Amino acid sequence: MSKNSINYLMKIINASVVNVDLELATSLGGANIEQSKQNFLKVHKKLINGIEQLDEKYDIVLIDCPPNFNIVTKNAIVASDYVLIPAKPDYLSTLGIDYLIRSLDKLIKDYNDYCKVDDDNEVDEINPEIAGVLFTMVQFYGGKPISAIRPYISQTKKLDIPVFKSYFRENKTIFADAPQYGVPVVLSNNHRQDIVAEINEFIDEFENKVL
Amino acid sequence: MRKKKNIYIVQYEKLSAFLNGLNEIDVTNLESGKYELKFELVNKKELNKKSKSHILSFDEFTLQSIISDLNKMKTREEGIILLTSKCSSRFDFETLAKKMDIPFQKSDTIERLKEKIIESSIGYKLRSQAIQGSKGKE
Repeated sequence: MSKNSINYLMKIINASVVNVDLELATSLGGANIEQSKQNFLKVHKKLINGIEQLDEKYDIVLIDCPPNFNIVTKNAIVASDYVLIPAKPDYLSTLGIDYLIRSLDKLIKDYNDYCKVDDDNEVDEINPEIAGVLFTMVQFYGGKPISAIRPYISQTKKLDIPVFKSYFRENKTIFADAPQYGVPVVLSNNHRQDIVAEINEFIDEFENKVL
Repeated sequence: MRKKKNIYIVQYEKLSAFLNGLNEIDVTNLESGKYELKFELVNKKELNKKSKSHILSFDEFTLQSIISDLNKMKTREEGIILLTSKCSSRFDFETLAKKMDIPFQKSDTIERLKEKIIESSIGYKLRSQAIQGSKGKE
């Protein structure tokens, strides 16, 4: 399937939903363990319930989450088949990948455990798969990532974490103001067609993975 | 004055010996102007020191086996023992770091180079296991 025939829906979860997170948190808990577990499922299924109401014109729904693991982000993970991890190839960001995987495993385990105790409503278990780590803001020299960041890329690969072959390179000139005009770099007619080609390479790799 | 004359003679003799030792191709290249002789004053002590510091304590095969052993090790301490036993000079550590694609700076001390090599081969795996728990790569 070519990317031209695939319909995407992009949802960006940003700072404006911070109160939603707090409101959802107040619904957690319960008078007993069973009620707590039911509330847990109810709170974490809000987004998946919303997505199920969409018509079927979308092939892929992208949910762009902030770099934290609050209830809104957990909702996004519960609703997802795949998790794409954009990360900078540096020390702290690659540490963050390990923390994310740990949190992800815990969420999946908790959610699936709670599914089993909810006798009244049949709840499907979840199993979101890590689609891969996409290294972003990559600086190049001589056609390959600079030496300072190469170890972090190779270490992530050696840890058996799926890593996309494509990179998103650092380029303030074209990426800095793109959100201001609301047109993604890949769709804009800018003079850096090489960078647009790199993004398209990633899209192909991503679609091959998830479709 | 006499001492200076001797120095000239000694140096002329060295030049003569060098020219006599050239093969025909080099002589032709010198005559045609393609090659030229270059004279330079060098400090012998510095030169010896420099050439000594660029001698590896191990061959390519040993270098590969050090990297392979490091990648299999489970603790940083094992790695430090191996590095201390196999690498003796700064050049050894730099060569190993280059081979492992680890960036370093001229200002890095030997201890820092050692630390970088250990972290890039063993440390990152231990860190990942510690964060991810038992699921981390063995």
